[in-house]
Amino acid sequence: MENKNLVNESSYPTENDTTAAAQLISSYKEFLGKASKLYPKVDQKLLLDMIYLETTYNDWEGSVLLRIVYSSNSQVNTEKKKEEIYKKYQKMPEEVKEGRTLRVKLVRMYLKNLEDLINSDNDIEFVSGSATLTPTDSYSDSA
Amino acid sequence: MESDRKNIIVEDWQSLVNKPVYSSNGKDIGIVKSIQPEFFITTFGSITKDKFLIPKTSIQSINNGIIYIKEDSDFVENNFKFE
Repeated sequence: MENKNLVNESSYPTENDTTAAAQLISSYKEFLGKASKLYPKVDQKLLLDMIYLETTYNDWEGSVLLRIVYSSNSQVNTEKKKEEIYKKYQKMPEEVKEGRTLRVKLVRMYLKNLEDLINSDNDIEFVSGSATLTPTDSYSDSA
Repeated sequence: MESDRKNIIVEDWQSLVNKPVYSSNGKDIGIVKSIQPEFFITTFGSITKDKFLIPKTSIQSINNGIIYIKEDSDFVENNFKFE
């Protein structure tokens, strides 16, 4: 009697099976690897916070505090950069480190907008900061 | 001199998080906080932290869990500090 189809062999554990925890951690590491390839200039904590808020709360307003770090190799005119950001987002950044870093609080800054911001300016070397559920007036954060 | 230009090969960059970093002239640059594709970030200080964006290619050596970079502290202050 032919019985090879009675048992679904794929449902049985094999030597190569891993635990749920191991699989999840492996997938998470793979995800982080992909995130850093797609957003190489963005701090991973900021990126993960934005992904969490954007995917969890449909009404998230895209409230972020960004630190935009410009390349130290290029002689960046930060006054010009401030104006460019103001023109785009109607928010005036403040200079945190002379000639290098601007800090600005923005709303409606979603992942796609962050991508656009970085792609629009080759002088940007790195973006860090924090994302919050609701807009805040505070400039202090742990980022 | 050629050895100065060689880049160290690190198998697991994530393992460098929380490791101390020193400049070529022996100054403490802080602790590695995160790893980016081309840089790693260190912070120094307890309350108002100085933050440094250091190219991975700057690593000279890693000995006993301590990272030594090729540049001196003045260069680090002028070129890598971003906050």
